[in-house]
Amino acid sequence: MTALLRRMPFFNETSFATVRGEAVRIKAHQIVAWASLTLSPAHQATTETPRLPVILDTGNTQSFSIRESHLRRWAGIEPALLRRLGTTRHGGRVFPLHAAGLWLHRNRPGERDAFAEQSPYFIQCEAGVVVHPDHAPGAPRLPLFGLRALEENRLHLKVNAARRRVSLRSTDWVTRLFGWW
Amino acid sequence: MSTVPEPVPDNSADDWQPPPGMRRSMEAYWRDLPALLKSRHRGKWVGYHGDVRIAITRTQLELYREFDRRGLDHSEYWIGYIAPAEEAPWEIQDGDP
Repeated sequence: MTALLRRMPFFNETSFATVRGEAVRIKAHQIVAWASLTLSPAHQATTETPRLPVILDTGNTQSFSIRESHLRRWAGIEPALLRRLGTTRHGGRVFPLHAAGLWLHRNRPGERDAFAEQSPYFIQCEAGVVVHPDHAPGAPRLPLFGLRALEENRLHLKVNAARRRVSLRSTDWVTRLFGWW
Repeated sequence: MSTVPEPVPDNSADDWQPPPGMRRSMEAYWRDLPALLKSRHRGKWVGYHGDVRIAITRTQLELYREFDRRGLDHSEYWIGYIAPAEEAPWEIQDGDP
């Protein structure tokens, strides 16, 4: 079993995170973790790869959605360099799906913006990541980490809303053996 | 004073299609998926290069590394997740958002 997020807090008031020197507003009641993107899934991210905040959004049916400017500015990736995998439709518009390496950074237990020393965890995405042009209606304000990523990676998400803490882990042998959800 | 919203550019003309090698690999995956779903491989990953199934693995990364080791370009293969799917990978996927 691999613990990815350990008792990571979320807040009932506005907070801020710093991304490449830029203060980013995190709204109250948003669960935010940190991820990295690499140009290809075969390229390993390290603890030095630029990190960007992602909203854990179980209402998002994609694995990962990001707007072009965040891809450029925060991940340091030019969208045109990503390999196209497909197309998705949302709100009557179509958006490209691209192959990219998506990596989730493990937090230091009990903290949101401090990290464990272990390498980031590779997030498998069959259909790739959605890239939204900045001008497109509905382009996400912050990158979104969707339910499909949890599913395709067989992850277990626990939200303790009373304490505003989130834990995320991979499937362990007990889960496999007994099928406990 | 009310402002007139900027017109939203229409992008419905996006007619991207997968390259031929990727498309053939997607079709092989789509053809085999019903049988794979009945097998013990459900929840695993399967890689195709054209009609040829390269491997079934527990992680997608193993397949990416295998294709990389073989020197294959991403436009020539497809890595699929063995789970029920509503749309073939070359079709437009219905998403939100």
